[in-house]
Amino acid sequence: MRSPFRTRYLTLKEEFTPQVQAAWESTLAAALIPVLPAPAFVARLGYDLVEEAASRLEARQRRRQVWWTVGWVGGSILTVVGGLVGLHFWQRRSAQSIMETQTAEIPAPAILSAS
Amino acid sequence: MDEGEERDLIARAKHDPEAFGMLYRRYVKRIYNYHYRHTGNPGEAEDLTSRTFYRALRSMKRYHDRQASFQAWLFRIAHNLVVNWYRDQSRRRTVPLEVEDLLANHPGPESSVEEQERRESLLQAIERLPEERKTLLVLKFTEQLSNTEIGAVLGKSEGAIKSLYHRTLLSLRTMLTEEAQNEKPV
Repeated sequence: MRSPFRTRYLTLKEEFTPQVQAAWESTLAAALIPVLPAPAFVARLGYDLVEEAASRLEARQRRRQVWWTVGWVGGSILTVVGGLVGLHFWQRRSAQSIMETQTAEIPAPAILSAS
Repeated sequence: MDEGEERDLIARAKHDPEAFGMLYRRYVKRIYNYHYRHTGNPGEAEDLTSRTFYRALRSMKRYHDRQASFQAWLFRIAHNLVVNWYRDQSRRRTVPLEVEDLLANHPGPESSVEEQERRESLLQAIERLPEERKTLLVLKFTEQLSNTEIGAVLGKSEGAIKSLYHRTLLSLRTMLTEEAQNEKPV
């Protein structure tokens, strides 16, 4: 059984023949004539937009330069710190190995050798 | 300007203010007209036009021509602003389109009183249409956008746009028929 609430879809071709549709379209095209903005508004907004775009570009370049500098300085500091840490560990390891060598070379006390 | 040239200009406009200025000059009249058709007020249309281009300038880096054509992308921004504008209105105002101005600017040789009256009543009927349908008509007839591009602006498929277009024509016809019947002397 068909539902009484079933949606009835329109068949558009029945409602609008191609000729009628074409007539409507030409009437609409004739009615919707473009409306032009005031030239002063166009010029002012154009000027403001170009200024805004230039200042944004400048700000972006400045930001990029700041990040570059931060990266360069940060990288340099990290390199120096890393070098110092490496040097420190190298020195500690060298000192440790020298101490171990010296301990191995100390002769046994005399009392021990007499017995 | 062909498609390739426009693509170059769009690519340049992402990092060249002058190129953005050229794009602006290319589209400003169409965007203004679009806003004017919705607001019916030159001041509001100018305000919305400015906001459209400032928003486009902010989002320019994110635009990729794979998504939609540049004009569809720009009209999408304009459309979002118009939707907000309608939302901001406490109630749906009747915005009189300045029909006399339109006709005075473009008189046309065939212009007659009857013709002007017909055009005026058609414009008034368009004015009473819901925002989406009005957008469709403006984009189709004034801006000559394809159904696919209109779909990109309104966030609908091409089929949905065709169907909406037919429904819009039908409702316009109904409105004008009712109006004509009401005007008939009893």
